[in-house]
Amino acid sequence: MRNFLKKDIDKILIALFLITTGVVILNVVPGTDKFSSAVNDGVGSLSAVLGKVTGTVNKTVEHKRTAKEYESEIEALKKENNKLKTIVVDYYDVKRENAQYLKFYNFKKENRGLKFKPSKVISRNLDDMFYGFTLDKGKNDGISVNSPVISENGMIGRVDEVFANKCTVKTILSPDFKAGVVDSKTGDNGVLVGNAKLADQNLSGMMYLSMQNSIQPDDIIVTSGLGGIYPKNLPIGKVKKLNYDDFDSSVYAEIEPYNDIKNIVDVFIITEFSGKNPEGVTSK
Amino acid sequence: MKHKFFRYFAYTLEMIVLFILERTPNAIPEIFGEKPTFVILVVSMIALFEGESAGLIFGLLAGILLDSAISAQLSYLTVIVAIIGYIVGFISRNVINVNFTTAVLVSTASTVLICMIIFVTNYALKGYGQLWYVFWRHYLLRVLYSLIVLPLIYYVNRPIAMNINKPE
Repeated sequence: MRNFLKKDIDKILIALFLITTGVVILNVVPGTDKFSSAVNDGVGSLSAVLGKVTGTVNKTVEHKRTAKEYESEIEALKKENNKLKTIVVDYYDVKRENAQYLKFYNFKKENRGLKFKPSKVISRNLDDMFYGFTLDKGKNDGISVNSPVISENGMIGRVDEVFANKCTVKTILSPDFKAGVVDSKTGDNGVLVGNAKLADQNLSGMMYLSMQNSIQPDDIIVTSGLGGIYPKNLPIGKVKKLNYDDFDSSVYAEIEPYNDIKNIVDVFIITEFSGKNPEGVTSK
Repeated sequence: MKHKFFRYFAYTLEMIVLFILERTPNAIPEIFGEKPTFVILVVSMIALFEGESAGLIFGLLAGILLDSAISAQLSYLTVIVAIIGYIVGFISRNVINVNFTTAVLVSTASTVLICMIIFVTNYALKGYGQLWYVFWRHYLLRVLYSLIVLPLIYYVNRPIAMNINKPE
């Protein structure tokens, strides 16, 4: 204590203390507003600067994470990303299926007794010039031979062979597909049968027409429902033109299907409809 | 033995790759909707360079691949292509000298024969009409396209047969 205030530093410290005490007193004493606001501004600016400095230091310190922490964060983000991708794929699947069902809804309204199963094309027979394909439903799903295969646009073909979990389809372009059809406008009857020449042009043929028919191009051809093999009024396609057979000069109509038979992916297999013949066709 | 294994492995890989190319839509250019049958050409070449047993084995493999594509089950093609592979191998060992000309002739004959069998069993016997139209428009066109790529198959298989061999 004796040596206190002998050193210069002691004197400076005491002076600083006294000045700070004076400033605090003046800040508090009424009537010194200008002084206290100047002091407060100064202190506020200092705290803002200090805040920025500490914030920058904090960020710098924060970035210096370990590689392991980054790796685990990346792993977690990847898992979340994969989960989201699955959800998105499901969403698009459901959206597409929904759009299909919506288009098919009107047809179902007119044929209330119709029961069907949605199905997908799993492979195509590239050697089949009539564009046959295989679907992902079979006996285990209640599919039987000759079940009609359709899309929202109309007829595609019929089931030819059925296995446990898949079935093969003959399209309407094939000579093996025969269906009683009718012109929805004129009422002219015929039989839809394909052949190689027409199939190469993506067409089918409406054979056994009467010579006195009134069929015109662009007429809509639908199934007649005769025989109970296929439901009635299933759209097949439109008339492209009338032609004469090479061998017997009989008249037939070239039918352009509503469906893109070569590229179709999603279809429906009709398992039940009103007017169905329970015996079906016994031979192809 | 080691060299034979590598050669056969190369042939198997070649056959599977060409089969996939042949069967994948839009993988190779089509001529009026038809593609070549690489698999039959490869079997002929292998039988020519390697002999009867290789012709039989790879004929079996080719037949299985063709059956799986056409009818999704084992059928007559497996047996027929194996027999033709054996016959080509026998001819190459006992009747002809293998060179480009004989390879072209023998491969052409085997391709035409197998395509005819497929045409008869897959189309004609089913009672469909327009036989002549289907024959020239689809099957003959397929054979002609196959013959166009035949030199390529020959010059791919010849180095495999010659180079992957026991040094003398």
